Amino acid sequence: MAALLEINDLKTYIKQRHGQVQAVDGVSLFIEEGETLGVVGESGCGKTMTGMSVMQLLPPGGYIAGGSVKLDGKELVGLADNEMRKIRGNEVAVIFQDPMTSLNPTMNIGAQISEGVRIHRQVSRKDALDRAAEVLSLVGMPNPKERLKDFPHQLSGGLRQRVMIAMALSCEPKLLIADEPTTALDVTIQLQILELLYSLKQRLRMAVMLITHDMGVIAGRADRVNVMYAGKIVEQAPTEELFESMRHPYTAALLASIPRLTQNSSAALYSIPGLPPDLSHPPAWCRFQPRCQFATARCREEEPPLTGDTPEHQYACFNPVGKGSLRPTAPLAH
Amino acid sequence: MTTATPLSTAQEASQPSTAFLELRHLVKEFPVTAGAVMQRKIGTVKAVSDVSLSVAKGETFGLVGESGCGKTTIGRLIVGLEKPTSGQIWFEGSDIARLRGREFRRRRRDLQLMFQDPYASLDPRMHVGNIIREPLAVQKIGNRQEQNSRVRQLLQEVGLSPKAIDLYPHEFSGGQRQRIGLARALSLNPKLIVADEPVSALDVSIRSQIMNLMNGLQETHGLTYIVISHDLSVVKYLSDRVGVMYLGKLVEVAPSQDIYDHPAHPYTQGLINAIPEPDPKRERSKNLQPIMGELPSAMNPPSGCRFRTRCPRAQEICSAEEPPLRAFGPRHIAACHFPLQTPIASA
Repeated sequence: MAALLEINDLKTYIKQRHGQVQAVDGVSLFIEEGETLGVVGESGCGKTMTGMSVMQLLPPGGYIAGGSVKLDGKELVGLADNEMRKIRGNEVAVIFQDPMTSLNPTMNIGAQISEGVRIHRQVSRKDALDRAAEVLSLVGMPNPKERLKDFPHQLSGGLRQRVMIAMALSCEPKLLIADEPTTALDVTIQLQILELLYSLKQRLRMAVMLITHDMGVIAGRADRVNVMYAGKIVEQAPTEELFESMRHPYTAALLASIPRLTQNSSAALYSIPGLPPDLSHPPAWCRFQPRCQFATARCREEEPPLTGDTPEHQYACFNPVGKGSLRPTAPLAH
Repeated sequence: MTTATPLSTAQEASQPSTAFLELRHLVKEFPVTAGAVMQRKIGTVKAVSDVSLSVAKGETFGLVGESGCGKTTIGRLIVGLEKPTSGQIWFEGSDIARLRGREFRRRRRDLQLMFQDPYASLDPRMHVGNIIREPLAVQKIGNRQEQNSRVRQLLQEVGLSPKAIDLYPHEFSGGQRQRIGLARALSLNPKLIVADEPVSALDVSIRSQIMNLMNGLQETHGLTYIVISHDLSVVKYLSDRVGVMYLGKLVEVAPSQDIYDHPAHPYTQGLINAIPEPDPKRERSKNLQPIMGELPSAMNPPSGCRFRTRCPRAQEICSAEEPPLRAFGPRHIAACHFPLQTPIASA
């Protein structure tokens, strides 16, 4: 049976004045109904562009250069604008990182939430507003009916994010793309929002693409994880398995560079030397090679394909790290 | 290293401090005005409300808290970017909050700030060499040649090539820009550096580079750091002691490991619980109640204990009386009527 979302060899490029950035360069992933897929990586790895490719909300100059994105069996790449508009906000919705800049400052929140409802459900203004109050209550907004007339600037960051979630859920999408949904929020509010998303997803049987750089958020909330680096997926596995037996050196290095609350020492943290490659001229070999302490000659000649002992756990590396979670050796000089 | 019982009598408050850095009953309030033509004051934001703490030479003291807690304001007060509404800032035996003019400028060399946003804190129209040299020029230290030589030395110390001198900030990554900010902060040979969110804007794998660098420089230069961040993991890693702030108040201070192992204040516990750890088994076994509700207004903070509106342990006394700071162990204090542990007999 086909998964709810199937992305196959997606290539999303962004044209620039001179050349183009190959932001997503051959990414394949799937999300089952009701599942939470974590897409984790650092800035520039292509995780946001992958999410935006599903929504067909690319920045100026962005275009899908190849590959396929199927939602519930329907191909989204190449879909006419008016057809995509029926799907966006309806079957698939998105919540963005920064609620301060993602909400329209000139519309009150009742209008913003009901806007989507009126477009996709052809109901009266009053019914749409009722629905808006309903979803606001669903997302835990205190006094939802009174808040409909509020403007975004009158709300705190946490409340604005709840408004954004309410907007996303107003038409009961099958898939929610959450792009760094809590990065801009205080940590205690972050926990509130993550708990909210979790309970809503359970209740509505909604699939979630959770895009983040935070391995802690992934550990607690994702069923499966795709680790991205330089426009490609370098490792994918069920969450527990990823943390317990990671194979790709980048995954291991990323984890080793995070200071843990539990560690009682100020021993130097592992730090990955160097910077990610320039994606306007990506190399034809392993993209992590210049920064990898396990690189061999082969890594500089060929690009490693995704491989693994099981179809659930795949990684793109010729010299994967061994069993158990590796702590790369002492920090390299930089 | 003084125990952190705040001085309460006026007489004690006027005695010079023997600590390296000591804040005494520090208060900072910002007026809020309204009105388009005639500005009238409608209230004040109580950003810092009676904060006292001391820092030893060579120590790293971390200040952690969420939006509006006052930690950034404290950082700015220490380096002289703001003047306190009341209270004292003792540094090496003098109250620097009282200094003016030349004395003030002279003192500012010793207390430098590493700014929060590596993308906004470097003048995009200045070459990196000039950015780092600027403090020396402003303080009239050395001639041009000596200053340039110092810039090259600083660049090397922070791990950047001397070629950086003629480049603009936009030609560098976030991590590199943070190094430039650090070089600038070091240029006057300060004794203390306030690092305000030194790694928050950086990618995870770059953060460790900067944190390792900060620790290394501390050793070489005998620096004292005040690290300000909303990220407890970062603060705990870098700091010897941590102070937790909430809505302008210092609610708990303890050595870093103790803050994590034995927090006394419910807010500290809430902060710790809220931090997602990269460990699926631990995360999924957590059965924690998040701290509910929203941050109250800093213009109208709750009476008594400011945390009471979100505290699962709050009772009547919490709205009537502000809890005093009490000791919970060596160098461990917290202000709560119903703390998570028993305070030790009053010190």
